[in-house]
Amino acid sequence: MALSTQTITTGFLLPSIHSAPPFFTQQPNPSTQSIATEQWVRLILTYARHRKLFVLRVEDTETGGSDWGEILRNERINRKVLPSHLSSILEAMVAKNVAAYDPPKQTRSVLLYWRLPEEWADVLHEWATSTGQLNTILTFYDITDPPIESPLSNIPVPLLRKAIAILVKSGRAQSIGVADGEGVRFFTPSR
Amino acid sequence: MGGNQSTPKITPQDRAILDLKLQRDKLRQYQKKIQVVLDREHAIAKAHISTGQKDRAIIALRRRKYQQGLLLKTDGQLENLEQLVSTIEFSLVEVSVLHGLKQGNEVLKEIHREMNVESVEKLLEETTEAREYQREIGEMLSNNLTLDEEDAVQRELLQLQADIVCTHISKARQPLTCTLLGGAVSSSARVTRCPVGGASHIAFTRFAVHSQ
Amino acid sequence: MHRRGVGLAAFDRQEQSQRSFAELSSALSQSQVDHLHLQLNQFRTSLAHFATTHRNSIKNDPSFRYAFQQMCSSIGVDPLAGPRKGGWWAELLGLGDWQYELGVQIIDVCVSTRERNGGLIEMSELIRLVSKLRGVSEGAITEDDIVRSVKTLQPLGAGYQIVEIGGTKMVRSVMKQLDEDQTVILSIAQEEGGRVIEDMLIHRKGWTRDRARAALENMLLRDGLCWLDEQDERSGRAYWIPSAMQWDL
Repeated sequence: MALSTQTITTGFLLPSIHSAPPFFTQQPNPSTQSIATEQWVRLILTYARHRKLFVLRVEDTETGGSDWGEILRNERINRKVLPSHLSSILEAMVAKNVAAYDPPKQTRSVLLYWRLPEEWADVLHEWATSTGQLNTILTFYDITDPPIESPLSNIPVPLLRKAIAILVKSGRAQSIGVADGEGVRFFTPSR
Repeated sequence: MGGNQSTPKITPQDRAILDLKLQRDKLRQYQKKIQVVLDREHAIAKAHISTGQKDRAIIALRRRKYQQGLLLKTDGQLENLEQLVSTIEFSLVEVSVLHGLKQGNEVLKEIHREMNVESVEKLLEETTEAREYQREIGEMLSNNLTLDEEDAVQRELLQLQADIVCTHISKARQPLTCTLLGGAVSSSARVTRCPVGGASHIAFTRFAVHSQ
Repeated sequence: MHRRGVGLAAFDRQEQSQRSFAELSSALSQSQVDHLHLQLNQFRTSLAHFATTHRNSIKNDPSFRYAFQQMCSSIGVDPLAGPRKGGWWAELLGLGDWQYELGVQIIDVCVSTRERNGGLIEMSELIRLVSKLRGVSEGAITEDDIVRSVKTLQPLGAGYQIVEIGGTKMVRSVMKQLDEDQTVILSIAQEEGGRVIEDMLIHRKGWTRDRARAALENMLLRDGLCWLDEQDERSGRAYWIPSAMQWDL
């Protein structure tokens, strides 16, 4: 049996290991398991980046036809990742700081950091600059749902909040809160 | 705006704008929701028709119509809100333009204060005088002499001519003295040709040699 | 007439003739040695010439390389063996690096695939990956070349060794000693494209279930030589041996 890479409908290139049946079982040998987990983490992050997915839940293994179906299942060899397996992968991702439990204090769902919050902060500021929205007060909705699609379209608010906090710290943004919600204003950093 | 100030202050206007924008967002989200409902009712009506339940289809379509009315209403509201937001934002821009104009005006005033009419006139006068003076010097240098000066020049010329005539006479006298004393005629002949000033002197030296 | 000399004079003469014979013989052998030297020199230069003009063929054409190797070994030199063993031949011909280069590439492939095959790689797979690494078409490197290179790696003490399991040559890059049961399991894995289940060992090799399970679990847990698949349709628990699976890099 030749294990080869596979391009799937969304144009994503699956690595050859994805067609290896044991890849979908949690390995009892710790060193083997760490190799497998590393492969899973890489696969999940590259796929998330490819499809702009921000959230991965343990339930995604169960619900057929979810965004993650192509990755968590391989119909050709009739294998799928079991919830407990995915749960341990999520744990490894959080430990590696490429994901964070969101909401916090639970372990069923994570926010994926295929860009780190620091990188998102830069993307955010660059977007505000290039669209001429410096010195203007913006709502979060303005950022997550802009009329013209941007790299930040659909970014989850917790992640957006993290990126803004980083910009505030470096003097590139200011957050404004009113009773009804929050807003942010970007500006060129003072020197 | 300012390059050096750190985070600008949050003014009440800022909060007002944020409030407005948040209301606008709510309306937008509400519209999205209604759109979903519209699509759903449409699908329901379609399904009912295909199963022959005309009444139910009509109910769904009525509901849809109602929602559509809501959507139209919110459209108007949203337009109002958005207009308000853009008006405010534009006013802010105007304010900042005004501010800029004001500052420019101040600077212009400051500059004008430096150049009141008197000092300008004085300055201009001074400049004219200086130019006049300059012109005079120029003319002087470019040989416009007065009559007196012309006279003086003429006198100087006459004096020079007189001097020259006088020297010729003294030269003609000298060789004569030499021959009387029995000196070399040839050399004295040469001496006569010498310039006026030195000739008598040479003649005297020669005389001194012979006398020894 | 006593031409036939007896006495001292005759003895002298005999000695003299002997001496001149000796001289003659040494002169002869000297000329032979000279001649040989000359020939050797000629051979050297022509071999060097041959090697330089055909260097590319030696490097790229396996059958040509094999013929060259045969020719050289028949006269007792191994120009491909590397700078130290090949001595001046290697230097002169500039071919010693070839084998070492190949050795380094073998290590490269073995180390980079060790994670998933546990340090055991099938010969054909190794050749395929090395060829890929070198950017040459498959077939440009032969099993013979690999065997020779692996031998040059032995002084490194990293345990590079060629083992034969079930008629297939494999290159092992870890010190682990395979026991007999594991060797059997590996050979079955090769037949099955990597997948081994207990029943195969029981039915084909007549093992008891306990023995089969112990051997497989050992490979899985202790040695990390195989991966577990708990979703196997038929047995529910299959063992996959990565070194017997064919991977695209």
